[in-house]
Amino acid sequence: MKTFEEKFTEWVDGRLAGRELEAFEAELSKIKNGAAVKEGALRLGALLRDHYQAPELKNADFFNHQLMQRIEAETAGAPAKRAPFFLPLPWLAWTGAVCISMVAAIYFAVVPRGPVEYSAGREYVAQILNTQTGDPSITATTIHSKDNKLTVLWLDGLDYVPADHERCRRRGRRTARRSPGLSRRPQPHAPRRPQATWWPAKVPAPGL
Amino acid sequence: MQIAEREDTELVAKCQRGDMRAFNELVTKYRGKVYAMIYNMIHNEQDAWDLAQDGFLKAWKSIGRFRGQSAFYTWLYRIMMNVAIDWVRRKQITGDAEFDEELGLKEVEAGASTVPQAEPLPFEKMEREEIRKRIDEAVEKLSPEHRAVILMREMDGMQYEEIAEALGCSTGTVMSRLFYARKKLQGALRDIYENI
Repeated sequence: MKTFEEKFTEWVDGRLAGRELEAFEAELSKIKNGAAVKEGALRLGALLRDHYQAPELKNADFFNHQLMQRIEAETAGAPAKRAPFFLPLPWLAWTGAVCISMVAAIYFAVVPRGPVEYSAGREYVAQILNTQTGDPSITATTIHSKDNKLTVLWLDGLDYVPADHERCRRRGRRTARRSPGLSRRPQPHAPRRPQATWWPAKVPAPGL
Repeated sequence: MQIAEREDTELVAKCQRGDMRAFNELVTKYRGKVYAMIYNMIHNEQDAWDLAQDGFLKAWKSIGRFRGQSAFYTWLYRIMMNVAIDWVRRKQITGDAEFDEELGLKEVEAGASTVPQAEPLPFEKMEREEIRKRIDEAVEKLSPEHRAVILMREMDGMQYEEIAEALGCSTGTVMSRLFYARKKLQGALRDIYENI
């Protein structure tokens, strides 16, 4: 259903025909100055066409030239959008997380922990640097278990147990008897079987 | 399909393959109409130039999405009208849309296709300038949508359906807007068209 305004506009523009035109003109006859309004609308259209023309586009060729330059600039700029200089936010977040993880891993792997931290731990491993032997293949390591109140001397590379070590060995056996589970034999897969001492099962062997 | 529309379709197809020369041809074909339409909307030559450029640039960027469901020039008018209506709205918000008397009195370019070839007599020239100024003032008072409808209908002779497509509204809305736009202009310009 068309409104009066729609039908009036169609009537002014000569788009009403047949029964629709008859019906509208019958309706319009009840309205004062209907025909005059139509005449006014037609004259208004003529006035606009005669007096409201826009000036011609000056420098029309330059208009095209400038436009084509802008299009070329936009087209040239397009790949830069596809590969921006800065990484997108998710990439930056991932990169940051990986960097932090690497720094943390390096810190814990490389930076030595202080003595306070060792003393607070349950086990304490130390390498003995001065063994008073000319053979570099002989190594000595002490392992201290705080829970068991036990310090173990680990000697490796010896062909025989020195006579002066017998006392340590006997003392160790006495200590081991006080601590159940420490009298086990050393691990069978040890590359070189320790010559001078026994090995407590709870304490990992260095270098194995 | 008319010959002009078929030519447009072929040029558009080339544009969609990235042919800038084809787009240049389309620009050449429609720049005059587009510029005139925008100028009559905003009454400023430099802004009309810039907006026409922006509109064509938008058309180039989105021509890949043109599916040929309407005539190219209707599609182009829609882009241009949106650009012009946005500009008018922005100016109305910022309060810069007051009529510029200098622009209203600016002489129409001699040699323009729309101007009679014979040089008008001084009093005729003054009369034309005065009439132009009065029309400008009356059009300035219309909303952007009413301006667009009356200009497309009266100046470009577009059909309701074409206007509706260009403005993205129904033909009923176009007719209704045309009714009120004419009514307002008649009220403002009656003394002129009754005495010419």
